[in-house]
Amino acid sequence: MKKRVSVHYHLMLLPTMALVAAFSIYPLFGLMLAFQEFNPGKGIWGSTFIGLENFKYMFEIPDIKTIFMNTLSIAVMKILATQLLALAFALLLNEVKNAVFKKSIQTIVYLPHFISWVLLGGIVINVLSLDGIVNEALGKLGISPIFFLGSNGWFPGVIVGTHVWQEFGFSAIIYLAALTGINPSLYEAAGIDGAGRLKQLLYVTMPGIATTIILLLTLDMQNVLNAGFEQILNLYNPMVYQTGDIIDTYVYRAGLKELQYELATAVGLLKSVVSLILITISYFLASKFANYRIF
Amino acid sequence: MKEKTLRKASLSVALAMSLALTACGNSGSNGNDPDTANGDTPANANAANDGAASGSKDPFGPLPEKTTLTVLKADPDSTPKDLGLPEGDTVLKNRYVQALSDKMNIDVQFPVVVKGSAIGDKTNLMIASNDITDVMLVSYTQYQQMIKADMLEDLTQVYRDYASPALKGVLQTDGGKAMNLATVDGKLYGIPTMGTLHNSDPLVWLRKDWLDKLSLQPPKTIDELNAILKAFIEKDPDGDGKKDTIGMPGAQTFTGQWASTYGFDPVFDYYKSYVKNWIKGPDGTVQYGSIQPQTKDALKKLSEMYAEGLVPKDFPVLKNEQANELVISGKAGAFFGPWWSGWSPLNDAIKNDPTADWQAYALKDADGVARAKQETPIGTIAVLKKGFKHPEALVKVVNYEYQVTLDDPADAGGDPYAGLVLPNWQTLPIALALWRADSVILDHTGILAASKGEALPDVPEATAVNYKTMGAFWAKGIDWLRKNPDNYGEPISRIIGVNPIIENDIEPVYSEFYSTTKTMQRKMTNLNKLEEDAMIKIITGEKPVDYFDDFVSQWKKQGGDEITQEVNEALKQ
Amino acid sequence: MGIRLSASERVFGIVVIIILSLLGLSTLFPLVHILAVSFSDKAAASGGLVTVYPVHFTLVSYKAVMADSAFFHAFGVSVERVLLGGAIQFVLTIVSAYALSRPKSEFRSRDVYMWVLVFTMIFSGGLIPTYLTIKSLHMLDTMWSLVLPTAVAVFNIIVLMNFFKSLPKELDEAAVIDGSGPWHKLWAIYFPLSLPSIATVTLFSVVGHWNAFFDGLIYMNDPNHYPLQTYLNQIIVQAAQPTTNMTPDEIERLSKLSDRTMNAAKILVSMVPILVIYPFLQRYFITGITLGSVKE
Repeated sequence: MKKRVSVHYHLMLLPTMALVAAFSIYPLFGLMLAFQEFNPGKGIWGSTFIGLENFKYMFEIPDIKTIFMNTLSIAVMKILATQLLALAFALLLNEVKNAVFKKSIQTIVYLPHFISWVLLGGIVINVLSLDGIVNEALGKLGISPIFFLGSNGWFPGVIVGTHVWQEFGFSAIIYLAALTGINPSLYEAAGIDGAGRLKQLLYVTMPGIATTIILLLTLDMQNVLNAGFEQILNLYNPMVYQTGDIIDTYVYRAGLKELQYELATAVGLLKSVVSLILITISYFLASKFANYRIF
Repeated sequence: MKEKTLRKASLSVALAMSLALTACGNSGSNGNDPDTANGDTPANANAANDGAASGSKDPFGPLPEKTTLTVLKADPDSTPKDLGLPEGDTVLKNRYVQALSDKMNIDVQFPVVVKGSAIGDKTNLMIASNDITDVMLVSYTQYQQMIKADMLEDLTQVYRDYASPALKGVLQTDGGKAMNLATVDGKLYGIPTMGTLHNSDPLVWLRKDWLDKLSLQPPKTIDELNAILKAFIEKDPDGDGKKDTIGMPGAQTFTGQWASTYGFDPVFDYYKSYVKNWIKGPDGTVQYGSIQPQTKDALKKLSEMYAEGLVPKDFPVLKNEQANELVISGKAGAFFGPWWSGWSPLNDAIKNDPTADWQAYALKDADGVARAKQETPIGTIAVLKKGFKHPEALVKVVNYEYQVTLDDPADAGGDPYAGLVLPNWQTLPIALALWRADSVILDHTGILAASKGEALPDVPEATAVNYKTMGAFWAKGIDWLRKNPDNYGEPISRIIGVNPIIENDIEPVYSEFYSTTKTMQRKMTNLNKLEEDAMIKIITGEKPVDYFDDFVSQWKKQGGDEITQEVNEALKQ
Repeated sequence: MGIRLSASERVFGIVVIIILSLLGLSTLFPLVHILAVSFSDKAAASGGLVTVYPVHFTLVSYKAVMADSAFFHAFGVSVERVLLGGAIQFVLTIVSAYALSRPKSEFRSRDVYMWVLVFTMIFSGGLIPTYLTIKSLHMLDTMWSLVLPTAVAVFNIIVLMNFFKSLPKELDEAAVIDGSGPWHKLWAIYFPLSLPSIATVTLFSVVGHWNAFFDGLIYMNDPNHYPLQTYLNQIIVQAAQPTTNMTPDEIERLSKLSDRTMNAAKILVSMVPILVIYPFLQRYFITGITLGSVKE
């Protein structure tokens, strides 16, 4: 009986696995590039292997520590701040009873997700410039102008802030969906027991979406070294290299003069390994402490 | 990023100049270098003789058999009509393609067509995947990469045998610079286009009406310019009673291997600091311009300008887009820009303020000479896939295209578009922008002649029409142009923009080295970062000027010395 | 629920509305700005004179967009891509998520499948081998190159699988007693109960297909096959440049159309489908459906 059932499951996964084999697994041979001196004339199969040279190159970059830490800190701050604001937004929206208001606000906040950074970059630079709207407003409050995009102190904050602003609406969708899954009778029961909004939040809502939070944070682990290339490329400048230069922007500049596929592949591979380790760790932590298996 | 943008900018100018400019070179009207115009000069005599001797090596003759030639085509984002094609013709299917098939037995096909800015990515991918078409148009970097990967056919012999005298001639208008760069280890693997002389020379554009209002004279030196900028900021040149004008706009790309709009390159050039160029030092060796003491002088001056508020406090975060806004909105009455600034940003600026009287000037350095860094002398290169059966096909197609569009179509068997407006050069099957390297000045002269009703050089019809149109616009006077902003950009660029280049006899400065060495590949990104960081910190006053010395020693230590040595060795060979 | 709201709850409600409105306004600003630019005169826009209302109102940009057949062609390609790619992803995501949501006792090799998928979510061979693969499958320049390599969205599968797993086990037992097989169980029980999650992952998949531009750029050999975002990317990245043989009418055309105003108009038009499709999916995760009877 069981065997017969599992045949169906194999069948259900067959098309998925076929596509994965063709478009994800087979092309993995490209990872060999990370260990080669690539000669396009000879191709990936024919190029010379040079061992760990490309990784050595990466680690010999004098600024590598700064660049790595910038990448990590910006990415982690983005993950945490986006999830936090998305969750807060979803919870607040959940409190609104007026359906029209609810739907329109939610539609509006999700729209920035669709504007590319080539375009948003210009808008952000204008808004945050020394004579931009923000500094004008600060000036009215008696605060002297802040050089948001030109100061190493402010820059990571601006990057994280504008990212959160762009993405929270889109990220909130998944929380909203999770919130619909909570049984309304639980709130009613809590209300009858005299629990206020805060208590309902803590004892009904949060447990109801805890697994979603764990799930999203774990899946986000694959982005701990992706600090947002497009965004930073469109906003950074030499003044903020110290806190704003990330792995991807550095590799991009290295490839401007001559495309360095080997370096790009080595960096990508390293990032993937880090992601795999972190995802695996979070998986086991979640299953041990929250008794929840994500995969 | 920077180089990419610059290349694009210069390309756009190339487009702007179009076919018109090249043609007048062959008229022979330009007396100072006759050997470029005619085929019978010593340089070309060999080729002509070879051709004559073998008989079969006709630059315009057919291939022995029908041959398919695949080409990666960049589709210009315009309708066939806007490109000047008659009804029924398209970029991919037109009379040029037909003529090549009829007259040369070459069947040109376009299996891959790319639009707009996508061409760079697609070309890179095709090279990296070793999946190229027979003919590709590539950058110098891609060219070197493909040679290294042994993907290209050696064209040395077929160029010698088959290139037409006219083609050989035009490729000498830059003194052979492009051909020299294209020749790697004594072999030629492609047909290059040339950088255009003076195309990016940075000029000082000023509002003459503001100068007059404040009773100021046009500047000759940096200090005179700074006095003007100061007055522009403080003395309310726009007369609105508000202190809302600024000095000199600036942007993130404040300097480069050659100048871009809003770059501070005139200041660097003024101190003979040729940033990011490899220049001959006093001891005869080649040195990196950015680390020379002259650069320190330039940075000192820039830091003073910054401290005085002559340039925007936040220039390092601004992109060209924001700097454009300062000029177009009328806040700035001065900016550094090339001769073609009339098109952008000035054609928009004039709409917002038709009273603005923009003029261009050039600064001379302490020796009384004006100098300017030049663009890379080599542009797009047409290359042929290794192993192509009839390598002369590429040379023949280019011969043909050059002849029918720019020279005498009769030699090539007639003009397929005879009696019609000549279509845009981008409709050519292998769209190589081959025009004289010295076209900026030639064109200026041509339009000026047309405006005075003087005899025009012997040029193709389309070119003559453009000369006459622009000449007529210019003859109507600058007031008329300012009131007709739609006609403003081109005459302003070509006349006012080119004037100071001629008047000051700007001396071109070239880098001694345009290639990449092994250590450069690995360490230049970091060194560039050091350089940009140090320059910005000094200009903005975050570090004292003497920090420059720290930077130089860091630069040398972190691989700069090694690279300098490699460059010198490479040049010895 | 019909309990009267206390005063403090009313205040709370108002505060919530204010906070949400502020968030909404902040995200609305760039859109209003782009809208204003799209209706402005070129010189005013490139002079940075436009903030939230048009300066020298003109419809030139929209007229040009309407006349731009390449834009609408690309628009059509994108719609096709979303429909086909979305449908493929929809089916694959649901069946894969369902199979993987089964307990190990019932489906012994599920862990192997699962970790293979997780692995492929994290590791990628890179641009060149993927391009070569697609070329060797003769899919260059076809719609398949856009919809098949992206067909397996591991993130979506994991999200949906987790939702399936959270549904009460009793459902299953009831179904087993009914004697229905796995396909029927998925269709008749799991699918209808998971609509909010399915709507969410469908939205992700539609948005992913709509926003993707790079694959269109590298896999297509004919610009007529570009999806909209590829088309938009290639014109927005391209600098405003004066072109060739400028006849007076060309100059006029160029000077009337700044890239900024044109691009703004194109971007806004390109967002219309997103706004149209959204309410259909939104109702599932905003108002939800009554799960009360089954969900603990």
